[in-house]
Order: sequence, then C-alpha cells, then structure tokens
Amino acid sequence: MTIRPILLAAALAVAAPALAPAPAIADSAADNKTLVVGTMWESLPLNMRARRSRFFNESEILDTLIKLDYDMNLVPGLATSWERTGPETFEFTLREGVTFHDGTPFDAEAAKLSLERVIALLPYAAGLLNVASIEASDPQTLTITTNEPFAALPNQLTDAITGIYAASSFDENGDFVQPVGTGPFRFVDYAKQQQTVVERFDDYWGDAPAFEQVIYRHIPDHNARTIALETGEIDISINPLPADVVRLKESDFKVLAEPSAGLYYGSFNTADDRPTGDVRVRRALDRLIDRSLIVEGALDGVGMPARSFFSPAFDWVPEGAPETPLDPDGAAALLTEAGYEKVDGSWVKDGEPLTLRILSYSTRTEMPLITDALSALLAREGIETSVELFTFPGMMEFVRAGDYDISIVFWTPEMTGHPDLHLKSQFTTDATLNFQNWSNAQFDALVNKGRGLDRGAEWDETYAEALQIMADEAMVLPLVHKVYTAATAPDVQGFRVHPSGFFYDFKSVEKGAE
Amino acid sequence: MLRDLSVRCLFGCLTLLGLSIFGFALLAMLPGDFAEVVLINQMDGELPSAETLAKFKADEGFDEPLPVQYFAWLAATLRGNLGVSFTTGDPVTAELGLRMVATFRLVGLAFCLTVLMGGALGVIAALNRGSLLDRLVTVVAISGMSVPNFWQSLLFVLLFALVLGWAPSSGYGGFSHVILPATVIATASMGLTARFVRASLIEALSAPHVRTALAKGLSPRATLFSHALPAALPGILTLLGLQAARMFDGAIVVETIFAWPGLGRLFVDSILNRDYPVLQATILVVGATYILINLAVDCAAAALDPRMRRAV
Amino acid sequence: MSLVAPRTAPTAVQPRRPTGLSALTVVALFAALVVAGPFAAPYDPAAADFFNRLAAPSFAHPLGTDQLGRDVLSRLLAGLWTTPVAAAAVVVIALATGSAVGLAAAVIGGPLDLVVMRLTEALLTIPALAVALAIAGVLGINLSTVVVSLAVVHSGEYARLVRNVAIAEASATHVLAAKALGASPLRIALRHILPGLTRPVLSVAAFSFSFAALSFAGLSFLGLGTPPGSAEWGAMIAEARSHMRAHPHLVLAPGLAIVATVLLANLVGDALGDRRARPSALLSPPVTRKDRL
Repeated sequence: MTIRPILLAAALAVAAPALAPAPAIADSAADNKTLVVGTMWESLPLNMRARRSRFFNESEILDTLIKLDYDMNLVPGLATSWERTGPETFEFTLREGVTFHDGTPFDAEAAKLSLERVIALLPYAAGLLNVASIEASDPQTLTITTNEPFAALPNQLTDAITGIYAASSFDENGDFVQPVGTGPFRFVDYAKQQQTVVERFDDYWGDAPAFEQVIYRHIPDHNARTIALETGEIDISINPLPADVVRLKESDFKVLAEPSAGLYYGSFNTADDRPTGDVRVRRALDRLIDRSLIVEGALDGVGMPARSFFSPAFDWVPEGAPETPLDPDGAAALLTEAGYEKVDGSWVKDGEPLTLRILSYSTRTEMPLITDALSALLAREGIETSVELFTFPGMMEFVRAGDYDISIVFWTPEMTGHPDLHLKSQFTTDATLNFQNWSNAQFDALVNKGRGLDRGAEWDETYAEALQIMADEAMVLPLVHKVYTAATAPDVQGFRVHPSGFFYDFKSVEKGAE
Repeated sequence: MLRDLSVRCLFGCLTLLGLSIFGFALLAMLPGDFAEVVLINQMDGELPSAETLAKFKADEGFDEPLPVQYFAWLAATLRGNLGVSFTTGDPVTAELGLRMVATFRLVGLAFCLTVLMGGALGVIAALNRGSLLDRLVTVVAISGMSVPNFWQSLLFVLLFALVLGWAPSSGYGGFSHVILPATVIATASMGLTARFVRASLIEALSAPHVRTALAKGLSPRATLFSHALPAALPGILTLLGLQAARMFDGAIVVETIFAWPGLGRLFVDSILNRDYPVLQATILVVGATYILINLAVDCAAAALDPRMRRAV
Repeated sequence: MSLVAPRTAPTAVQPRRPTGLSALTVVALFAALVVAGPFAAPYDPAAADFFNRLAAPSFAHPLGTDQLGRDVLSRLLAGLWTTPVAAAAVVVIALATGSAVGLAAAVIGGPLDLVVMRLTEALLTIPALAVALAIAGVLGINLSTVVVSLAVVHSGEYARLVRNVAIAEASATHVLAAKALGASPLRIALRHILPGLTRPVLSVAAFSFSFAALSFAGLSFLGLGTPPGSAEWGAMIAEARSHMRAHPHLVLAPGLAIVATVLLANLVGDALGDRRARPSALLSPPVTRKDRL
C-alpha cells in the first residue's frame, strides 16, 4: 500500500507553511509607553517615490521648514521666519541647535542638500516647488529663488515631500536609503504591509513626547480598522467609516473630527453639445441639489454641505468668496429659461428627457455612495442620470475624450493653504487638468496675477473675483467638504485630527489613566 | 512516461508565456497613457506636467514600442530581475516574498481543512449511503458551496472576532490570525470535495472487484480503505488540484477583508494601480504554482492508478 | 432544452428517482420568480427617501430601508434581474462555445484536439475570478464585460467535459453500430453522441451557474461588477456593509438571497450529477485516444 505515505508527505508539505510561526506582532496597544495607530494607507518609509499621502508617519520623523497649524495657517518649522526679499526670492532664517537623528547638526547646507536631493529624486517635485536655485547664504540663512514670481512658495514648503533629510538618508550615489530626520521620533523598523515602528528621539528640538514608541499598523479595510480598535488591537483608528463614527459616538470610544481642505465635487463638461454646456443648466443644478441630503445619505452626516469651492472654515480663504444658495424655484426658472419643461415630473426638452452622464471611480470608498446619492437626488427632481464607475485613470480617459456631463472627483484643493495650486492647475485655459472645455480669459488673468501677490487686500480681491467668476459660470458643482475623522480608545488623550489629513501629531498625546 | 512529462512541462511553460502576454496585453489595453497613470499614482492623484511626464517616460523606457517593452521585460525576468514596483518603489521580488509566504500559509491551511474535513464528510456519507447522516452531510456540503465568501467573511469577523473574541479581526500573524480566513476559503471547496469523494467512492464501491471483496465477507470499512479508496483516489486528486485554483479566487476577496498581505490582495491592488511589474510577476507566480500543482497531481494520480500511467 | 434522461444513459447505480423532472420543475419555478419578481416589488427600487433612511422592518417596508431610504425588499426583488440573469448568460455563452469546441475536438481530433485540450487545461488552471477581475478592472465596469470574461473562463470546462464524454460515447455500441451503417460524422455527433451528453452537461451547467453567480456577486462587492446604486445583491452588501453593525438585516437579506439562488443551482446540479455517479469520467482525462471517431 503506497497511498498513505504519499498522502502523509503531501499533507505535511502543505501543512508545514500554514502552521509555521509567523513573525510576531507586538501586542502593544495595552502598553502605556507605546501608541498603536491603525492607518488606511501603508506608510512606505524606505523609499521616496510614493511620498505624498504616505507622509503621516514621517511627519513625526521629519520636519518641514514651515508647518501648518490646525487652522491651516503657516507656522515656523525648521525655519523660524521667512521673508520675500524680491519678486522671485525668499530668505528663510533657520532654527538653531537642531540635530538630526544621526547626531549631525542641521544648518542651511543640510537643508539645501535635502531639498536638492528631493528635487532630483522625485519627478514631480521641481514643478511643484518652481525652484530655480537654492543658496546657503550663511549657516542659518537659506535663500531660494523661484523661476517666476511665486508667492505661494512658503505654502509649498509645508508639503509632505519637502521634509528635511540628513545626508545619511542617502547613499553615495545619492539614492534614498532610509529617513533620517529631525523629528520627535526616529525610524526603527518597517515590516512590509504590516507596520512601521518609530522610537522617541531624545535630542528633539521641541517638547519631548510622552510615548517611547509609536507603531503604525497598516489595516486597509475600513471596517476592519475600527473593529481592531474595538477589540483593543490598536489605540487610534484613522478615517473610520461614517457609519462607525455615528455608532462610536454612542460608546466610550472617542471620535475626533476636523473639517478639512478636501472637497468632493462634480466637474462639468461645458462643451456646447452637452446639456451642461448651457450655463443656465449648470447654475440650475447648482441651486437644485440639497447637499445636506448627500451628506446625510452618503456619509451619515460626516461632512459639510459644500456651497462654495473653498471651505469657509479656513482663514486663508479670500474675503468675499461667493456661496450659492439652495434655491429650487430659481433652478426651475433657469431650466425653463434654458428651454426645458416639466412633464409628468421629468424635465424635458424637445421631447427628450434631461439625462446626465455621470462618471466616477470606485477606488475611493465613499465615491460610489456620493454618486449614488446625487443620482437619487437628481431623479427626485426629475432629472435622469446614467452613472458609470471606473478606476480613477479609467474615468479620466472618458473625461479627456469629453464623453461625460459630470465627473465626480475628490481633490484637496488647499492642501498647502493657498488657492493657487488648484485654480492654476485645474481651471485655467492651458491647465493640464482642464478637461471641462472651459476657458475664461478674465479668470486666467486673475489667477496669474494672484500667484505673484502677497497676502493683503489686493490678494483677497483678486481671488474673490476669480471665485465669483467660477460661481457665476457654475463650472463646478461643489458637493461636500470632507471632514477628517479618527476614533481613539477611551484612554487616549490629547490627539487632534489635522485638517490637511496628512499630518499626525503625537507629541502631546498620552495614554492611560489621568 | 518521462517523455510525456517533459511535453507537459513544455506546455506548462507555454501557458506561462501566454499568461505573461495576457497580462501585458491587458495593461496595453488600459485606457489612458500608461506612464502618466503611474505618475498620477505616485503623486496621489495629481496630474504631472508635460515635461515631468516626458522625463519619466524616457527614464523608465515607456517611450519604446510595446513589443520592445514586452521583450525587455521578458529578458529581464529570465535573468531573475523582476523590476521595481511602480507604486512603492521597492523591488518586485521584495513585494512578492512576503505575499507568497502569506498566501501559501492561508491557502495551505485552507487546503488542509478541505482535504481533512471534505474527505471525512465524503467518506462518512458514502459509508452511510441513503441514511439520514448522508442527507445531513449533503445539506451541509451543498450549503457550504452556496455561501458567498465575502458575506461569510463579514459574518465571521462579527461573530468570532467581535462577539466571541476568539480570533483577531484582521491582520497578519500566527494561527489565530489565519484560521478565520482559511475556514472561509475552505468552506466552498470542502463542500465540493465531500460531494465528489462520496460520489467517487459510491462509484468505486460498485466496481466488480469491490463487490467481490464484499461478497467474500470483507468488512465494509476494510473494503473502503483497501479497495474503493485507492480506485477513487486519482479522480479525487485531480479535483483537489483544480480546487487549488478556486482557492486563489477565494483569497482575492478574503485577503482584502481580513487585511491579509497575500498575493490575492496584491493582485487587486496592482490592477487598480496599474503596477505593471507587480501584476506581471503575480500572474506568473500564481500561474506557475497552479501549473505545478496540477502537474504534481497528475503524476500522483498516474502513480496511483495503473490505468492512467500511459496518459500522463 | 431537455432534462429528460437520455435513452442511452448508463445503468444508474442507485434506484431510479425522477430527479430530472423535479429539477426541471424547480428550475422552471425559479425562472418564473426571476421573471415575475421585480414586478411584485412594492416600491421603485431606485426611489430614495432621504427622510426615511435606515428604517427598521415594518409593515410598510417588510425588510426596512437602506442608507438612502430605498425599500430593501423591492431592491432584493429587482436584484433578480441582475445576478441570476448575468449568471445564466455566462452559462449559456460558455455552454454554447465550449460544447461546440469540445465536440469539434472530439469529432475532428488530431492537432485540433491537442490544442483544444491544452488550452482548456490552461483555462482550468487559472483562477477564474482573478481573470474576470483583471478584465473588468481594465475595460471598465459594466455587465457585459464581466459576463463575457467569466464565460470565456467557464467555457474551458464545457469543452473538456463534452470532448471527454463524446469520445467515451463514441466507443459505445450504438454509435459503433451507426458508424458501421455508414452514418456521416456530423450525423453521428448530432444524433448519437449529443443525447448522451445532455445530462452531464446540464449538471455542470448548474454548477457553473452557481460559480458564475458567486463570482458576479463577489465582483460587485469589490465594486467591479455593476454601477453604483444598482440593485445587485453583492453591491447591496458592499454599500450597506458600513451599517452592518447597527442594521444587520441590510447585509443579511441580500446575502441570504445569494445563498438561496446558489443553493438552488447546486441542488439541481447535484441531483442531475448524482444519477450518473461517474464523476471521475467527467473530470480526469482517462479516455485513451484510440477510441476516437
């Protein structure tokens, strides 16, 4: 009988890997000196490519020259002050007595080296920073010259990619090895797809943090992340689902929310052959849709109904930026003016019902829900929709081809606290991202003027005027200002959600009984 | 037999080649400029400028014609260089290492459960054919085949992780982490295996030599193990080989829900992110594994069944 | 389509039971439900009522309402036209193409047979859902893409089965007799071999229906099957998933609908397959090549 040995061997061969001990994951959520954070993105500390939204843990390893406070205002980071010394030049005074995690001192030469490496290594950094040259004038002074007058440079220097690295972060070829920074925690360990571990850096220039260790656990599934919090596997769950936010509010767990810079909006195709090519139709839609119902229906109330492109929650939003009111009667009048009439509850023109082709992408969890709610709301108002979902690049292909009426997107237009980034790259006539067939010379001129201006009355006026044109032309349909959320275990104190969504600050967080 | 075996290996390699062309064609058919998509992904959704794009294309070889790109990839792969992930910037081999171990642990345990539970249920049902027990096994087996794995995963997490607290809700780790997802994956194939084992044994039990053994007074149990099972085994092994492919299907959804860092999730992510080097490597690894499993199963079946020796 | 047992079916191992007839009845009843169900929906499945969201089951809404205030029962009934119909389409396409190819391979033989068998072998060893997912992820999310890609993968199974059984049937006495009488290969294939194939093919069809339904629901759950807002059971689970803790019925109801549909198909397949009770003949290729037509 030859079967049994063969079967046994086969069974062993299969069973061995399954039962082999796996690398242990420290059960540290119970320990008061360690904070365990569950994140939706994987942090990738060991390479620089996919940097931008992965910055959250490096915000504790690295410092940027300038930082954003909780109101999205610029505050000193490694630069204590900065001044625009000419249309194209900025001078930064650097913080003294700062050491990198490897013990080397931080000075202007180190900052120059780091920024130059970043521009060399990241294909998109040069365009973002618009930098012509960087000079270390003296050990505490850094001078940066831009390619053109560029007032938003200090804002761009808060961007995740501009964190300052020590020379030892790079190898002899200038390639990135690992993050060595000046932040309160230093990088210790990274286990792919599982976690990143950082440890307290005792020579940190600011106040010493309470925790000896922070572990970032990567739990991509939104439900799973919150369940891990509830079962005590993690201390903080970043971005819990709206339904869980509502549920956890009723429990001992703490829910933190912060209105953010992010916006969900519909981007209209304004080409003449589309129904949305008629400005009256766009304005009618803008007035017709009750955003609060979208926030309720799709996001369980976690979000702010958006009636303007930039969230009014922030100081830097220009004075006098317009808001569109909810006005169903006005909308009906506009549609009638555009040649539509309401027959049996549906808007019809020349016997054809008003039908909008809406595109979106399903890779962002809340996108299908928002699109779904919008479509249901439009149906209620007598406007038909045909909705298609893709991956983001798939959707962009149809958008580029002009085969759509509305594409629903999410963007963080003021990630760095300045209107320029988004208006310039998305809505000006020659913007690489303008697939809306929209062109307005006056708007272009205002945006180009705003780039060169310092904050003040003229700045406010210029941007307010540009935003007024956007509102009058109704070329976007703002839907929801995102509210970033986090849920923490009952014993976690002092944690705040940053409105940019990218920075986590654990310096003043504590755990355990008060 | 050796010659047949080498022919089959050759076909296996051809299948792999076909798969790699499939993977490449798939990505070539993707709407949108390939290089741009990759850059957008690295920039978290922002569109790169034209100069940035041109530089990136030149640096990464995207401005070559598609066949040139394919053969460049093939040549590098044959030298063991799978390239660098577009999403993470890490070498593909590093991406695959952990994922392979994770998936093989998960699917391996699921496979053990399938063999043990499915086999046992099938034998019990066959031995007690027509009885209440047989019907019960049938109901359990067919129900198992009918439960959507994503739905079962959701219910399992609720029940076993949250309500009962018996296992962690998600993540990579030891036996307690792997048991829930493995059970979910095994449920469907357990049912199918039980049904198949039962039917095969019943078929084998009706064979003349088995009936003779029974007539000569051999106990039903002894007859089963010494006569019926050996006859039914080749077919069962073939089925189990095919089940392995279905298990990877299961892993795709289950790994996502349980945050298990395996090949299934990598596969989904690499499609969504158009991480072409990773997708190609994943397809090759999964394809090669299943071709090998099926080859091994056919060999084992041939070794166990003299009638099939020539067919292999 | 005939579910009546073919005259040439091999002697059944167990006593004859009218499984073919009862399976036919069950399939007919289910088909009637699929056709009529959506008309019985008490509400428009897409009509949102934002002021009655997440309502508990009540007399007005027997299964409550979902996160947009849509009636869950109506959506379940409307879902009958998505997953079951898509799965049936997969089966029909795969069965037609797979059987044609398998029969051709068996009848013509030679290099065609070799190529077909290796191709189907490759199709059987690749994970069906993964391929469908890749294609759907690439070509955009719509019903026909998913149906066609699943059908391609499933067709291999039919080709292999039909080819193997056809070759086995070809050596059966009645076929040899027909051959001796000078019947053309086409006539032999259609009149003498096809009837013997009906039952095993239908059994596999039932199982592949259940696989297709599960794959389809799974793809929709991952957001790659149907557009948002569709009353598709997998998509309903995905959308209601975040509310599962507070409103479990939103996830339980569509889940049970999938289970019921798939269970039915599996029971039918099991009943049809059990009769023949020759599973090894269907899966492995034990047929030696000299039995060729």
